[in-house]
Amino acid sequence: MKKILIVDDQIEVRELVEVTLRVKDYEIFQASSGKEAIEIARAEKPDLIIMDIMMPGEIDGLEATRLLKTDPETKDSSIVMLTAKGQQADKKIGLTAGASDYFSKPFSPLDLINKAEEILE
Amino acid sequence: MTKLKKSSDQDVLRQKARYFEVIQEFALFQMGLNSLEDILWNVTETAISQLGFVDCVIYLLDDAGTNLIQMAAHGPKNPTSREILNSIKIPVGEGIVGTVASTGEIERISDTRKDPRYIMDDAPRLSELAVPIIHQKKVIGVLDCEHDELNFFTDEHIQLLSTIVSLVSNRIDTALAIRKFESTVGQLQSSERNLERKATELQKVALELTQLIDTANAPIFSVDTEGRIDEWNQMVGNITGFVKDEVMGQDLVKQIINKDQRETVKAVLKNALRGIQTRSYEVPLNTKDGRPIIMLLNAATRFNAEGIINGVVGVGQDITELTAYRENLERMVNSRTRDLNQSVQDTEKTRDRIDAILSSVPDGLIVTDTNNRVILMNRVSEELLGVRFSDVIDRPINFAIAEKTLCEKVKDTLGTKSSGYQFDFELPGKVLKKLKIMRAQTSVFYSRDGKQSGVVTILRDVTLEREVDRMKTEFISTVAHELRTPLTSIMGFSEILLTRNNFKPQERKKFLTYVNKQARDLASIINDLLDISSIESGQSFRLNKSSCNAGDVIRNLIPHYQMHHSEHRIEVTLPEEPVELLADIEKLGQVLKNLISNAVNYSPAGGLILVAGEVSGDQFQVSVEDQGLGMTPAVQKNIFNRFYRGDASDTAIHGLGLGLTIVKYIVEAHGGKIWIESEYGLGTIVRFNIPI
Repeated sequence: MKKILIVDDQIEVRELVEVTLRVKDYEIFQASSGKEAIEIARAEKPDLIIMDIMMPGEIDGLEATRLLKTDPETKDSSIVMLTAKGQQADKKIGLTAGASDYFSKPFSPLDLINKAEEILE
Repeated sequence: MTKLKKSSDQDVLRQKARYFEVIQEFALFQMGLNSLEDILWNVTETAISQLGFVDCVIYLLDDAGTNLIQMAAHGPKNPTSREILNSIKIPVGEGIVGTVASTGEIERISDTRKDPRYIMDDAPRLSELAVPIIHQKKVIGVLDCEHDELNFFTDEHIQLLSTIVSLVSNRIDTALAIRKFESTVGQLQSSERNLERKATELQKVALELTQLIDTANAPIFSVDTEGRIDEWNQMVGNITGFVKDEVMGQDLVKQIINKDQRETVKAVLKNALRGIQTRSYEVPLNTKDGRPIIMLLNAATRFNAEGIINGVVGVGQDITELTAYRENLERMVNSRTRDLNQSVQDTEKTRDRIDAILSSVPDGLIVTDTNNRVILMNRVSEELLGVRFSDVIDRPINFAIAEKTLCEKVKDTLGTKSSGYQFDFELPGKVLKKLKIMRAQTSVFYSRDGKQSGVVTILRDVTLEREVDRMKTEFISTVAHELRTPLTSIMGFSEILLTRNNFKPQERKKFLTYVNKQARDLASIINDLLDISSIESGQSFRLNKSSCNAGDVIRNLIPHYQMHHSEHRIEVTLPEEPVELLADIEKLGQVLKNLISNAVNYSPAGGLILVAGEVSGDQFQVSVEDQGLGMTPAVQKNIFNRFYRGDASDTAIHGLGLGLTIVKYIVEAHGGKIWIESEYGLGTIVRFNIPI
């Protein structure tokens, strides 16, 4: 069973993503901060991480992505950025940090499902 | 021997007779001669022709008695003409002739070659006889005879010549005396002629002078030492009306000077007679027909030929017209001066006004000429650029402006046909060397005739505007973000609820609650935007005031936060007695919500948040205290500014940066005050009060 880690500081967004992905048989984990995301990623080695960029605390989504992608233990996890920041520059920064793709909020659940399946296959 | 002797005696006798005849003839001939030349000439001629001498010369002593002057000569050495061109001059005592003149004794030289005194010339003779010419025991000359034969001159010759000399010496002296007399007479006559000529010249000059004075284009008159008029030219006559004949010999002062001026004029005359001259003295006169006139006068001392003061000369000009002209001129000058003063004052006023305008212009203003030299800087530009105008006046612009881009642009502006350049550049600011953003606008200005006269550069500190621009951009981005977050939930959950039916009722309700909450967040954001929009546009808040209990307003809000922010401890302290306020309850709630939200958002989980309300004098004071991040002084300073967010980089904390701006506005609309007490890293207290 594929593992997916959802990282967002807002409970509503985590719930939404989890519910959206319920259509397939995934094992879902949730983290509300960058720090928590790194801990879970190391423990669970998720196949996909859906990462919010703007989160309070020392490690935001970009920094977490950078750390995960440079850590041999976690670098194989695919990361999809999910953020309200939709500008091209932000997209680039996310991809440079090691993300595979980028989703702007508000997102279409169907697009997210398709993207997750595409990456996980 | 005897025969010889006899014959010799006979010869001597014959010769004596012959000499006697010569003397007789000579004496007779001399009787008819008068002039010195004739007398002397006759002597030498007789010596040559009758006595057979080769040369014969007569020298006469000059007046000083120092030199012998050749006066007459006969013989090959001398020209046959009676005129002696280069008269020989022999000093007394020199040579044979000179010796004779000094000794008065006859000299006979039988062989001149043996006599060192003989003066050798181009035709030397072998024998010489020199006889003094003596008159009244004084030598007056020498008769000098020469011959080619050695030992030629005999005693008879001496006797004969002595006789001749004695015969003529008296005549020579007389002739000399006459000659001297004639010469004196001649000189006298010549002097007399000179005198006559000079007198004529003087008369002519005097006439000319008189005419000059008479016809001079200036009044000229003079008085003697007694003040009596002794010169009066036509001009004075014309001016005064008195003709020369009327006034000559009259007392100047009494005749023509105004009574009240007589003493002054007398003083001037008296001074002039003492050698003190008066220049440009304006003297009022009376004309013959009683008309008063003013004459500009120079009173000069008059001297006679011996340099003795003998009167006063007055040279002047009628300045009646001149005075009138001058008075008119003075009036014109005065009037013009007044005009000029007025216009100078006007100019100064205008300049002051322009200066005042320029210094009150809030923008920096630099004016440069066509050589890019600074000709004007106002105070603002001095402050912005950190230079004093007085230090850079008339100096090249790069002295005033260190910024190269600006310098180049100002220079480039000249010669361009466009209106100039507009561009931004950065300047180091005074405070903390924070860069200031300046906007420069250059434009050419033209003189009246359309030529380029220089460049006006306007500098404006746009740091704040740029900051506001930046904040606005950030605000828009923040608004978009803040809208997207609730929209994500609303759209996502509603879409899932619509497309899937396999949710339990409990789950369904949870999703709908999310949607509802996020929709309300959206509404709240929109309300904030509307509030700020009305504040921005200057419209006052419409407060919907009603009487309420301050404690209740706070108490009713807290459970909501306690429920939603369980990770924070919220404690409330309120007065036990109800405090009645006249306030817009909804807006007051908005204020509290904002402050509590901030406290929650900016403090770590588990942090204590104290909300307190108390009566302080005639105010009800509310404070919201957290143990959060706190604020730096810079943040505190700006925290109430719109779009400002304490930590702009940390956009993870939601908010538009409008909350506190709106809060402040609401508090102030209620007549209250709001302020912040905070220390970075320790926490923040926000206090506000509202009049009871």
